[in-house]
Amino acid sequence: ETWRFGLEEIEGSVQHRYAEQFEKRIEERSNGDIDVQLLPYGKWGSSYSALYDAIQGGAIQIGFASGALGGTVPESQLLNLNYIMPADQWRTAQALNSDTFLKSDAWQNAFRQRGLVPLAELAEGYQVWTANKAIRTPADMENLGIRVMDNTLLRSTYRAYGASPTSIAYGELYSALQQGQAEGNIQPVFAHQEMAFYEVQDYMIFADQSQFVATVIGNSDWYDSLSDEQRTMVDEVTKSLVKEGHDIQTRFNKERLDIIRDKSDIEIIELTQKERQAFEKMAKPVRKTFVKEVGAGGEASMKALLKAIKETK
Amino acid sequence: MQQTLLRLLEGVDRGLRLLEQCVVGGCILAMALLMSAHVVGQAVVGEGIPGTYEITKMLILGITFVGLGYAARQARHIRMSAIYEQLNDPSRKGLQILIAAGTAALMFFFAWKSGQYVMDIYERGRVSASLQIPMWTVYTTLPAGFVLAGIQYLLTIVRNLTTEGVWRSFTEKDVYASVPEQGGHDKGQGDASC
Amino acid sequence: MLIILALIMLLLLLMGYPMMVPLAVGTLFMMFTDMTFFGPDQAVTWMITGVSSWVLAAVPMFIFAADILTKGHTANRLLDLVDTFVRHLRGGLPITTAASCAVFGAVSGSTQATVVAMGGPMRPRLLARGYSDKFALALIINASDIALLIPPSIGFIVYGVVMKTSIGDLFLAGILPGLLVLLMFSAYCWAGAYLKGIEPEPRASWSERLRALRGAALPLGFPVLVVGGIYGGWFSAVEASAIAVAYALLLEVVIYRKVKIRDLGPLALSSGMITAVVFILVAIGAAFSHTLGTAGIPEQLLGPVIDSIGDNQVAALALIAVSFFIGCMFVDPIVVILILVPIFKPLIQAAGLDPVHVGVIVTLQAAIGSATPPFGCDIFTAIAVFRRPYLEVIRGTPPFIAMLLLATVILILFPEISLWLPSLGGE
Ligand code: NA
Ligand code: NA
Repeated sequence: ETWRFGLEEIEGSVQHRYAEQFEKRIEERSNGDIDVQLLPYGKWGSSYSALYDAIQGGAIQIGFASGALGGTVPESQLLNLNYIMPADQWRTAQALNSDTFLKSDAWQNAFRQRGLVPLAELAEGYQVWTANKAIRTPADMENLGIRVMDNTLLRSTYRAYGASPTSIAYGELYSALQQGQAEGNIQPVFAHQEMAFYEVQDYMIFADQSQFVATVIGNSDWYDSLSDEQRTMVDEVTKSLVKEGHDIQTRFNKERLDIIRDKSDIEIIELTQKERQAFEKMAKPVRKTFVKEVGAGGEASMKALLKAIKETK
Repeated sequence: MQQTLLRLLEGVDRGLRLLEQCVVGGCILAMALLMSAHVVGQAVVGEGIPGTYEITKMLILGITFVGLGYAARQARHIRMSAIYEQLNDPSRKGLQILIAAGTAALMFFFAWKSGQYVMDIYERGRVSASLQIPMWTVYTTLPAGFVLAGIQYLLTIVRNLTTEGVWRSFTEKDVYASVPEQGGHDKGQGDASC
Repeated sequence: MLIILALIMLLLLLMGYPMMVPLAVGTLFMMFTDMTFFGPDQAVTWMITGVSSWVLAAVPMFIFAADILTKGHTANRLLDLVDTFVRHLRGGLPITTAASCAVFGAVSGSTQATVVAMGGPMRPRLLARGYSDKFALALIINASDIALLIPPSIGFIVYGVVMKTSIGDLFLAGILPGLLVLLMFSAYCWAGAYLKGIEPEPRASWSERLRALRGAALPLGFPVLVVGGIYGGWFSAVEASAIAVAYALLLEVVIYRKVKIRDLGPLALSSGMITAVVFILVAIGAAFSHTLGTAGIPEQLLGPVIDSIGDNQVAALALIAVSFFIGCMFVDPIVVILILVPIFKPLIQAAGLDPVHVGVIVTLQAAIGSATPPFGCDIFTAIAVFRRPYLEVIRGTPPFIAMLLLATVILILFPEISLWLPSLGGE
């Protein structure tokens, strides 16, 4: 039997390296009964909703889903909230993949309602700010025309910091930064590098406010049709990949940050804990916006996540 | 009998045309307005109109799929007519009927498939990321457009079967203009751009 | 299986089915014969995602802007301007036509709109001066393609977004190649008039020229506004298309008052219909190309060729040019750019090609394809505007296509022609 695994990213990406490990371990453990077939970006289409459709419809059994999932599973926007997860990336990965959060009724139901099952969470590294001026305090962010995805929650978050969030299509973002239509940008390190955004920005700011998190989702009918052993196998393999995924991500983003350092003289700023706290305080009320927008399911998911974080050291 | 039927169809057809015209023209005007307002907002108050991106994409869906029917009505879909042009009138008429029948079948197939898709999306409850608009309402333009186009191709068959001459659509006769001898009066025939 | 697929599609094409039918039937054929694991449900998804694209919004907006200008005074003012400067040359009238297409291209992103705006008034005048209809039609169709190279250009916008390359640089890079093509066409017109013994018209006086220049001043502000606005960070290239509409309305409705508010409905409708005709092909083309992709066919066909090219730049550019040329002969250029650019991206990177240079070559091929049988959208526009049979519309095109292909070779061999202007902009 074939399990198709759709990726939001191209070959050689964090998601691809993670999925390769998943493929290897599943095929080994099932003695070749199961053939995992990886479908990188482009192999299933070029718009994320086409991937989610294919998984919901069952043409693809497993896939990655990140920032664009909000329309399909509104509760998933939880992962976009700022300063909800610990600054420590390894702790975040553990909390996200703990039974307390991942297996919680709230989180499972959010996906189940839409014909999906969350199988694992892959944190792919910090979302990093860039701008043409140094940002250390909310005052530095005041009225900054920072580009965010066209998404209510992110807009509220950056408005809370005092910025003027603008929406610009991803494909036009490089020119927009170059020409000054946008003054700042938020991406994981590898995206800053791949899309060469760093070439047209002067400062790169690590505020550790959130990570880029992709959820490994499965089609729920497919998942329910698996034998008990197969479900256990999936569970154990994804558990065994939590550390692996964290290592892949860390290595990958370090390589990419080195390239950025080599090729440009962009200044890298890491906020101190005290500096972060100023932003953290302003981000906290946005949790209410999230609950108001997404409802009780979102609130319960958020509680599960907070509990999981507390349990993880 | 036949005449009454034709007149009835013409009445229905006029109603559908009005609907298509309003949607297609309206979407273009709305897009121009929204995008310009977004730019002005960004330049003047530093903030554009939230949801401009997703509304623009939704308007494109309206233009594309309702326009599909409208373009079928005007017999404007791109096709390679080199061989068709070599045929005599009765063969052209036959070929027109065959083309219309095949295309109509395809349109209704897609209407059915996209109708199912709309139901799926309704059940899955997908909403747009920025304005939380239920996507099934937007995707309804697909089955609607495919049905409108399918109807146009069926009407093309009816027209060719009931009326003398070769018809490229229910209302468009298959004719060519002669080459003008002297100039100056050739522009502005039909609608402004074509 | 691949051969059966190709034969079915070809048969439907030749029978005269609307272009969307062979594409859709090809898609469904691959799905029902299990060449791909996706079923027809996914075809619907792909149609939606294929056109749900922000960058595509530039297409209806530029067409709408051009339609407003065509209905109004702008088109004629630009024609008058060019006419007073070149009509005394031998072949002055056809050269006026070609140059006016280039100038109109500078206010319009759409080749089809240029066919209407310049072809409408110029064809009767060309015929009256003794030029043959086949020459007049071919000239209008092909010269309109210069509009795709002169900024603003829908082709560059779509390429720039897909390739993630600066659209501003692409716009600058297209100018000299556009002028090169114009020069070649003008030489051909001159030679044609010389051989036919058609006498030139009297030279315009400087006061006449000045008057024409004053009349055209506001329309000529157009490219300055669009390119300047993009460079100044006021708006993006896609947003520029809506600004083009706003400027066209300002000119024609407020200043010249040639276009009335009540005209806007019908104008929007006709722009919308032209858009729909292209976009339904983008939608079904997306389903077709993704189906091909999941069936692994592009790698199967192109993989070995791409491997054998390696980092030979001229060979890589030649392969890209030929592929886009063939693609654009059959499918709308926008569809081809959306499908082929991602496939060739690895080759472009491996060969170390400048994406801006590649963009010029690709857009030139898209332009040629718009005027090349069997499927050129400008040909269909001309058929619709002039109501002449297909074969007659295309009869005069071979010499133009030969010149355009020559231009391609020149541009491949001399990248400086494209890259010089953007290099002046600096980093
Ligand atoms: Na242009
Ligand atoms: Na073409």
